[in-house]
Amino acid sequence: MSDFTAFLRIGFTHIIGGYDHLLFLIALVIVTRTWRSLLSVISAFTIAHSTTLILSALGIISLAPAITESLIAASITYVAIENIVRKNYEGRWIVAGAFGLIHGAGFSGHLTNLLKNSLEGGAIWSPLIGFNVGIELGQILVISLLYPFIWWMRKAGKEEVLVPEISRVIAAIGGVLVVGRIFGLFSEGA
Amino acid sequence: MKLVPLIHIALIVLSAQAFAGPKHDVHISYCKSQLTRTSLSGKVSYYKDDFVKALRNRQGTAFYGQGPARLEQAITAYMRQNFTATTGAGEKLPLIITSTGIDETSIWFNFTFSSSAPISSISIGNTVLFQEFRDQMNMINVKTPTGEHSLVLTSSDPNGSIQL
Repeated sequence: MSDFTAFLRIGFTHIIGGYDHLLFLIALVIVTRTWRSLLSVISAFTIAHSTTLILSALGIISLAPAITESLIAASITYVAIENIVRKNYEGRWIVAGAFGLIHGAGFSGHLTNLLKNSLEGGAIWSPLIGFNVGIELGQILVISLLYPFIWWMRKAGKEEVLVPEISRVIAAIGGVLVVGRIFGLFSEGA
Repeated sequence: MKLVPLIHIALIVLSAQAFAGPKHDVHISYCKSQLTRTSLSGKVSYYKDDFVKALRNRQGTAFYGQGPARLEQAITAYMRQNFTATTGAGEKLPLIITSTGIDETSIWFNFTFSSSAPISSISIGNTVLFQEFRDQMNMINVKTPTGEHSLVLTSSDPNGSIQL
């Protein structure tokens, strides 16, 4: 296995087990009504996410993990509430892009610092790109699994009932995560 | 509608994982090393806060107020217990930490495992921080005369082998 493949695996595994990321993705795409809107939302999120991840790795930006973790939790709540209160989701790619910047900066702790300390010069790019590609592949897998449900929901005319229900629960979870992360209430250990 | 309670249950299960599980950031360590006929040497880096947490968990109250010499002993003991190398012939190689570095975010060790006999294959174990973080992944890059190999060690797969 090469460094690229190893980091790709790490990125992929991290997203599949990254429950806050999954909740955010569900809230983000559950209201998309066309392939075009889905593509614009995912592209905006991916570009923004990759940008801040790379900027963090290069040491150009550095945000305290406590801040990014809380903002990430807040982004879950925000998107879920927006699903409930808004009727028109045009321009959602802007929200996706804005929060993508925060989600990407959320990796500015462990990964980027270790890469900076362990690798010199251009050697940082292969693991960094591998990790990013792994994350994006994980996201594609999650959306591929989720989309048949979204399609069925719309086809069966259950969108008006299920979207607010799902969003209410996600908003509540996000709210608890915000409080928990601000006050350090949740264990992240074994 | 029966689907609504089902969705609630699924989301609550997901949220329970979100509360108990890892945060957004990834727990990872990185090791860059070189394998020759008689030794494995390189540099391994850990996230400093996580490493301190592991030492504190290991030492309990003794962690606080100890002098630099005792702290160094504790670090070496922790590393020797969790960072290991065994040759294909079954020789357990002693870990020698040649230097240590620390900055704002990371702690790193330059190390050597030396063998008394030529190495044809080696099994490397790195379980550092596995007790503290269930999502911890310890990555080891090994450069050999024949190529480069990367191992991703996890709590379910804490050892990896390299053939020379």
